[in-house]
Amino acid sequence: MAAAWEEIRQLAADFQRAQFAEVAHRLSERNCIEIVTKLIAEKQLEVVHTLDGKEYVTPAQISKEIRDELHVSGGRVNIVDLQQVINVDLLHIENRANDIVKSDKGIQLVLGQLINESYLDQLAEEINDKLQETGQVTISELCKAYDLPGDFLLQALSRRLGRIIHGQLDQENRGVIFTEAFVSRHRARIRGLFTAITRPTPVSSLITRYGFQEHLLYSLLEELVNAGRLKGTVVGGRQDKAVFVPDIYSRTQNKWVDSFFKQNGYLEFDALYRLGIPDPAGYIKKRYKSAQLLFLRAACVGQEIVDQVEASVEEAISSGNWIDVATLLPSSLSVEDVGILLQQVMRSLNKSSSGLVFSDTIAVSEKFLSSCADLFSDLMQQKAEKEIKNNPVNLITEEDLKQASSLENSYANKKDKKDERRKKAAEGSGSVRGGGGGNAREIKMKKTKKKGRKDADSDEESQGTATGRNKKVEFSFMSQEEIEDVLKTHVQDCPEELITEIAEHLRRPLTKTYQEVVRSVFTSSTSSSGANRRQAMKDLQEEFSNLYNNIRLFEKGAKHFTDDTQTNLAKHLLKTLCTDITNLVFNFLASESMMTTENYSTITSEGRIKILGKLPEDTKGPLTKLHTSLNGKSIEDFLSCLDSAVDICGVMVKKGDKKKERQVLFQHRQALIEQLKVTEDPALVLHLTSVLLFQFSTHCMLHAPGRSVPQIINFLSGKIPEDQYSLIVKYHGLVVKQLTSQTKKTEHGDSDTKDNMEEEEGAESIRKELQEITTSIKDLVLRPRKFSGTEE
Amino acid sequence: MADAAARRAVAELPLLRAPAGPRDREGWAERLREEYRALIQYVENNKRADTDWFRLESNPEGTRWSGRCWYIHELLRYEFNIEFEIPVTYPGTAPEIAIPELDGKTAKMYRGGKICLSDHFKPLWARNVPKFGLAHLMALGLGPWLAVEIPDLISKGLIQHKDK
Repeated sequence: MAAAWEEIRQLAADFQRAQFAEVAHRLSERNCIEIVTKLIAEKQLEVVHTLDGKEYVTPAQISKEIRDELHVSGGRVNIVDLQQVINVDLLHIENRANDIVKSDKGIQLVLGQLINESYLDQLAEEINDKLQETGQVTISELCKAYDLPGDFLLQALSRRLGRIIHGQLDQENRGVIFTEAFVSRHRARIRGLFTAITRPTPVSSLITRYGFQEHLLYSLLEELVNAGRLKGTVVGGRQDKAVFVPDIYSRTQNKWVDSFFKQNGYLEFDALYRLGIPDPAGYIKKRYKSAQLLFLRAACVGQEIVDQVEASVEEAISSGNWIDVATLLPSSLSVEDVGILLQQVMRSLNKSSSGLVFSDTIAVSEKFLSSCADLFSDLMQQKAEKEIKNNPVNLITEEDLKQASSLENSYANKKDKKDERRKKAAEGSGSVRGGGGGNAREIKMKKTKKKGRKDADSDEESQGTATGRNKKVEFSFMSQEEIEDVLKTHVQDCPEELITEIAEHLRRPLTKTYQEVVRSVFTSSTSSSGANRRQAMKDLQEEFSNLYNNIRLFEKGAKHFTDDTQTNLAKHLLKTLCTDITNLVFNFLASESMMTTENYSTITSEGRIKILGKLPEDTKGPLTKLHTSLNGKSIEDFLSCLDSAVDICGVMVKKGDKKKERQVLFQHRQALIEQLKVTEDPALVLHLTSVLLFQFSTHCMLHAPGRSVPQIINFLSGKIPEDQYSLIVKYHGLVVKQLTSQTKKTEHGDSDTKDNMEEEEGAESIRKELQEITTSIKDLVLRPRKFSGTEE
Repeated sequence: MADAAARRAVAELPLLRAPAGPRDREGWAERLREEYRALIQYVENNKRADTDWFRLESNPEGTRWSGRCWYIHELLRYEFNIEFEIPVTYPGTAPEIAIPELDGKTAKMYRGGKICLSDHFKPLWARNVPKFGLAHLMALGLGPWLAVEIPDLISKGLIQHKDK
């Protein structure tokens, strides 16, 4: 019983114990998470839950685990890898890692990787092994091999250089590490190679050829050059075009340049180029800082040469001469450079003296130019006078053009016509001014045409007064070539170009002065003709009467013939003497109205028409009739027209009296006889003889063309003694034969020799016969002169 | 009335066998031993499950019990003194637990602070005599009553947490 109560007491005690025993506080998972989140939110607890959500980890634990992992993986671990191992959010790992890096100097975070010092030491050792093996390593290679950024590697390695890595970093290019041995080997090679170089050598070619490390090469080269071990300079910096120029080379170069300059006083840029100086002008400027050099396009010239040129030019100018500077200068200077030099010199001389530069290199004094111009003054005067005489139409056209509408064309036409006429005249007269003159004129004509046009464009203001007259005709004095020719004959030793340039230079002023001269000559001539009007009038009347009488007498002579022959003769008369007299009238009228015609005998029908256009209305009518009557057949018509025309002119026509007539007849005969005496041509002899015989027999003058000779001889039959007539007929036959054979010969120049021979023989015999008879024929006229004279 | 948790907790308790009250000296000792074992078991179970909610002790005869019980409502712990006597008719009738502090504050209480358990608990107890003991009384009687009445009293403002 007691034992039972004892047991109860014990149980009660057990019960109490049980009640006061520690309560196993149990929380549900849900509550736990809630509590923890609440704590974290209230920042009372700092834990991180793992990715699977099963555990909470404190940051300290994460740090510890990170450190452990880093250690385990040999000093380098990727944060992403850590995340998998530690199994918490990457963010927390990163934060912890940053904390670690901040707190621990030996650990670095590089590219998302944690790296500690021991890893870097180990890395350096590896690199060192490689370096000792190859002699050099580049940071970039290491970057690739170890997958680390270059800057970081460089920093890490440079701290270990000399401690773990036995090598050196290139000072200039911090990307390469060398060993001393490698460097010294390189240095030795570079030293050797560059000591051996005697010419400028591009460094890049050496690099490729000898396999140098480019950057090492440059730094070592610089070092060696600076230390004076290598005598030379590196030109062009550190790029590909860098060139090593040994001192010995530049020394010889300089020596050559110096000596050349000393000897010649100039330097050609081209020559310096060839020596391998890339910027000759700069080089020269640097080298001859003190010397006064004149820089030209392709060379530079020393003061001596400039002085020399200056002196010569000055002398030439002061002595009124010219000088070709090119002859004073070295021949290697281009014309352009010489020109520049000369310009320079002229500029410096300009104050004192006046000179001009021709063809770039020739300095010509004003004096010389004016002397050249003086050469032309005489010529100009002569030519102007000639021009006035020869070329009335020009002057006329000058006035004419005021009214002319189709200027250019008509002008050209007129010119052409004039040319034609001139040619005709030249051929007809066979004068010295032959075809050449005609050609020259043609050229000139073109020139003036051009000139005129140019003037119209450029010299508008100079002739602003002329409103409708913009195509003023210039009398070009001489063509370029002519001026050159004149200059050539007067100025000796001049080069062609100078002559040409001077001619060009002078042409305009000469043309201008020539215009003035022409004008003055023209006015003087017209004024003089005005002053000597009376004399001229008298002369005109004299000449006019002469011609008039001649015409009448010839007409009378012509009337001895039958109709046919008569008209032929009349036509001939109209063509010759009547034209002359008409021209005389026209010329007179032209000069009345201030037009000059040089020589009335050369006025053509076109000239007459032109003059007609100029004349006042009242004179125009009769003169036009006169002009047309020239083309008629009747001399009577012409004479009546002439009479009316002459009335207008106010010329007194003296009707010839008997005495005068006889005098004229005599003079005419005398003239014919004189002509006959000198002539040897059988045809002309026959012509003259027959005309003379006609005069003897009829006492009338005959003006007949050669064509009418047979009719004359016909007419003479019965009027002269039989023997004379037969002689003339025979002579005539022979002349005809000769003429036909001659024409045949010219026709069949190359027919067979046999024929030729025969014909030649025939011609020969005819000629002999003719010669024999000629004297007797001449005698016919010359001898009977006495008896006829006595007869009269 | 007893919820599932209470039923589960009761199921783990050993059932009592001795049908003796305090009058029966022999039988009471046996009964008391069983009572203690059941209580110990219950407390241990509670402790394990972190649902410890009372303290009890008795006089040496095991007829008068007193202690404390507590209820956690909205993270606040409300503690009350409890006391009860073993009736002579025990285990035929269940003891009446009194919470003197709450006397007059709730309708579900007899005069003197004895809690009213008649509705559900008494029939249950009657059916399980003598298998139910004090541990069952606590688990099926007081526990559910507290769980119902205390929140109600707190919301009515009849109970104030002692800290306030």
